[in-house]
Amino acid sequence: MVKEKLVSKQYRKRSRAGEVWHRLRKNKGAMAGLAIIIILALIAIFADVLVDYDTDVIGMTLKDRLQHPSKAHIMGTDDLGRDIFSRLIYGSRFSLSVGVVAVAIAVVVGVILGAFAGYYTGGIVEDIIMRFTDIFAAVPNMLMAIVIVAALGANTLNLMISVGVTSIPQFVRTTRAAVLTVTGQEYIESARAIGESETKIIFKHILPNCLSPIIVRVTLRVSSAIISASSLSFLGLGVPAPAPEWGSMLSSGRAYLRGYSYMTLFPGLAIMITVLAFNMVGDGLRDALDPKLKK
Amino acid sequence: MHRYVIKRILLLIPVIIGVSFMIYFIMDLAPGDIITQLVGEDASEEQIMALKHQYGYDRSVFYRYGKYMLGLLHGDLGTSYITKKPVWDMYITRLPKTFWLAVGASVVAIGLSIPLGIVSAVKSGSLIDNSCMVLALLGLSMPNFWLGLLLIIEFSLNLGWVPSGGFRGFSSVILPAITIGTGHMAVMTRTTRSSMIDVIRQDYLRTARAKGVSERKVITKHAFRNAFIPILTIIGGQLCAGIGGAVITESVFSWPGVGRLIIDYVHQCDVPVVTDAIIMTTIITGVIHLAVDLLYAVVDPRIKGKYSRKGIRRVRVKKEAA
Amino acid sequence: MKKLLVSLICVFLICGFVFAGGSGEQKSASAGEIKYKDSVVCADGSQITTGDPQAINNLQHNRLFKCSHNTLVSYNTAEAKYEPELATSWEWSPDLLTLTLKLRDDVTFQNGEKFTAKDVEYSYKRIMEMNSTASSKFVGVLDHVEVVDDYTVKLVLVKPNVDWLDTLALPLASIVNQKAIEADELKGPWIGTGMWIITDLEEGDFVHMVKNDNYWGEKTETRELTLRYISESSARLIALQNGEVDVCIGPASTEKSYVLEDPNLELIEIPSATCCYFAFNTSKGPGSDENLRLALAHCINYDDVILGASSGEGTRAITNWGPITYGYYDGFGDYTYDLELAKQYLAKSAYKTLTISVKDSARLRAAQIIQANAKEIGLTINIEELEAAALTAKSAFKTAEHESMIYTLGWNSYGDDASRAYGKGSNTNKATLSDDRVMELLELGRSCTDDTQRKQYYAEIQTLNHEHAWYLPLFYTELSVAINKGVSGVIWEGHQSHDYSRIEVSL
Repeated sequence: MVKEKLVSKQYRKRSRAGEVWHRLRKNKGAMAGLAIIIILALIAIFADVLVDYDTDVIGMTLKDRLQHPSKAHIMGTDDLGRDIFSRLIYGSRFSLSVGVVAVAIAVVVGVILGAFAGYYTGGIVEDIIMRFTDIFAAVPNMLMAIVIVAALGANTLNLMISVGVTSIPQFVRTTRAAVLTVTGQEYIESARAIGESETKIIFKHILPNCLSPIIVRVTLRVSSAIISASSLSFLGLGVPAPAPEWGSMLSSGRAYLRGYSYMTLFPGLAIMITVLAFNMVGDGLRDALDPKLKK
Repeated sequence: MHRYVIKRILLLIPVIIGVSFMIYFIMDLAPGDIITQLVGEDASEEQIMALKHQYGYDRSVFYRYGKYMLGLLHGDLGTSYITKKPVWDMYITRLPKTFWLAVGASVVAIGLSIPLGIVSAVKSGSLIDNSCMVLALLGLSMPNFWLGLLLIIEFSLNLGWVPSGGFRGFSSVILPAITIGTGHMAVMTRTTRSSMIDVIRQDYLRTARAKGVSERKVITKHAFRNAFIPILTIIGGQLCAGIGGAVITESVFSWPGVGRLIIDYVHQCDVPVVTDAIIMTTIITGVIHLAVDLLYAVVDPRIKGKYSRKGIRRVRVKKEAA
Repeated sequence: MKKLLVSLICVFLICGFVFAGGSGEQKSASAGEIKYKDSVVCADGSQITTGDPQAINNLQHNRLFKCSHNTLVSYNTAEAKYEPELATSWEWSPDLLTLTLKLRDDVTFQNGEKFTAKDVEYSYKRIMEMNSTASSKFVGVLDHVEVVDDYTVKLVLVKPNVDWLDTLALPLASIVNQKAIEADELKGPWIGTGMWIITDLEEGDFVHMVKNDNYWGEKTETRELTLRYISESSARLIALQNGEVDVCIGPASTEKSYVLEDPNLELIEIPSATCCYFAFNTSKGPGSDENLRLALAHCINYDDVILGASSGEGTRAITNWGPITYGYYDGFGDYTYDLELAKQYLAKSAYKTLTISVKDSARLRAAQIIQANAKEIGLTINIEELEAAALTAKSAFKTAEHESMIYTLGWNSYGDDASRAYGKGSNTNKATLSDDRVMELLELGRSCTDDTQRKQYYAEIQTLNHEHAWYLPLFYTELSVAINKGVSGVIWEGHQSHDYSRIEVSL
């Protein structure tokens, strides 16, 4: 078992990224997911070109409120007479960036803490970090988010922070477990023997070899961050009005679910597709990064 | 074994202290305070001062926390500011409802995702595999309040099979359990799939096949049994998440569970209720995790030996890696 | 493994059936030709947390206490007069400082104790010492209670207050029993003299009551009454359509058509006493600039606000006073929608931006429309969405850190209720007003017995508000309740503290 791992490690070292990409490309689901993510990213980047913020996204025509999908408004209009399609397009900016930035925050903090906990295993550093992680994980996400948003104020950045903070424990645990498996390897011992500094060992030798579980966790976590953000919007703690965030669009349509279901249908679908895409890529990456699954 | 169980339970103590302090601190930072909740917006200055004194809000958060911990040491979970009831009573009337919902959700999740996971593992890489995964992901990506209301409209209003909400016996558990359970499906299906794939290619399965055991039996009996440990971890994790309550699903189904207890009283700044409910959740979660770890030994006798002092760390590492 | 799963599911099923066993609904015949339901359920979107009438003062609790407890007098909104309840008659002293009440001598509490003047003394003393939302109505108003004899009681006030009877009619002034409370601090206050005995209260779920067979007044056919908490409006309406509940407070405005289509249901529209208005913080910042206030007053498209915020189901408010509140006056008319005029006002103001703080989705929608309106005259509006507790703390009279906010106030019928919106120090004075003339007028109104004179005082307050635009009235919310067609006997109130105590549901 150990032998196998070492062999594949040497093999991987040569053209690891290339080989992973090769395997990923064979996975149709993952490629479809990747394509969707790229399209969504493009939509988000060019949202300004596609729709006009002042007239289409936040401009209200109250006489046109609650119109079912038609030629003029292909996804209908909401309760303030705004075009849902335009708002969805523009909303991709907020939803995607909340997901990505929140996870970035969690990754930076979580990976560093996790790496130290895994490297200094058995010591007081590990105990402190892990107990703090336990404590953080025990506080309900919603409570944490409410407090963060309440203390810092409701805006997009704070939404990202609160979703990010609640994802930290997962990254600490994932990273620590991965680091533990790597720390025992011989090349780490040799790096120590040469007398390299511990921080350098952690960041240069250990972390690069722990990337695969972290990458997988990232892709999966982006999608749950998008869902968390929309749940927070559901509780009124999201992106401030009138900016269109998918979650807040979804929750404002809640009162109109019966009779005007399109108001929740389209933002719901948008979230669903995005989450699906990130998950498919995550699953594909997991398979591609797992040497055991190599055919 | 005993030593291991005791150690795990003792490890909960610092976590509980940390959690309770953090909640106290966080609730202190949060806007609004219990005094306004109690006397309302148009109270006089004297009233406010008197109440502040009564609840210790004229002193620092550390004083209040210390007083609370002192009570906790004597086994007194305190009294709710709002309802004036012992918090324990409030929590214990909610716990069974949350428990049934958590169990129901797990049953739904297990019932749906294990077959899906096995099928996708067996047909790994095929169109069936991909569609199974998409199906599992659908549950995750559908917002709970949306799915919940759709289920109510269809099964309660149109078909009249089940009540629309509230805790009204077995039939009322079904819809919320489906709502939460389908959300758990994605992770569980994925775990089942990948651990089945791990097992499926192992030599002893080839041996079993060679011996003439039917393919169906090979998969369900030999392979699945060995793939069960990671799945058990996930089930444990989901039960724990369930015990903490599911706020949104609980509101849609007017389910009087722990999740809404916490959120409702967070909004009303009732510190003892929130702190106690979260402490209890932490304890139960810890116990479930422990039970799952001990169940490993039942499922896989090889693990038993690892609960000796030396083995403990290895087991923990393995669990977290999963 | 399969076996394990199957057995798990079986255990689950069995437990479920055991639970389900108790929840059947019985129907039985009763006197007369019409048959009534034995057990009635009313659903609401707010939860009941206590059965102690003196601990809390809000709508959902008031509805409960009107069933379980009694007050000395009650107010008949339809006829606009006070009616005897536990008191048979009352009399003011000439200096308006003492109110003498004669009490009923045939009333017993639900625990069998006899009701006497001592209970009135105990109850009112308890409110004063309680430090609850209820006690603020008594502290500083009532000085002490004198027991004259078993069935006569004298209430001595600190200063004249012609609205005192109204306070006595509020559910928070319910009479409780000393013995019961001393025996059980938690459930003792549940015991009142009302028709309904609270048997079970699970906060966040339901309150269950059974009929008190020894009730002193006229009794109903209904035997059990349950108030259920269903927070989601869609789910609440579905419960009504399913027949699980008989009354559904506040169906979503977009879902009213389902009620109208259903032959078994009925929609009740109640003229509301709740006014939604825009409040500037006049103590500092942009809100202290009258030009800015008037600029906004003239640029808001009020019809759009009503349409957007309440789906058009609100009535335009000219003044922020309650429509059924004593002293209502709207002779000054509406602000004209005039963008040029608004621009002129804005040009005179140093401020060009304003932040609106809001807490729920209806107010958020209203704020978004005002934001769009203000943009047309070049006034930038930021919207700040806050958690309810945060907004309360931020906009309290002493803190007053908000720039402006949208607020809804449920008005009572008595004139001095205006102190809540205009009185100095009141935390619901969201404009942070401390205008001397207004304070003087409120003081005058409180102790004036001359009807015309008193109405003039209140009219002047409203005219001042119109001129200075401290509060911009937006609309009166429309109240609706969806009910099972058979429901009768409920007194529907504009201030939403409906009286369910005589509810009957014919089959």
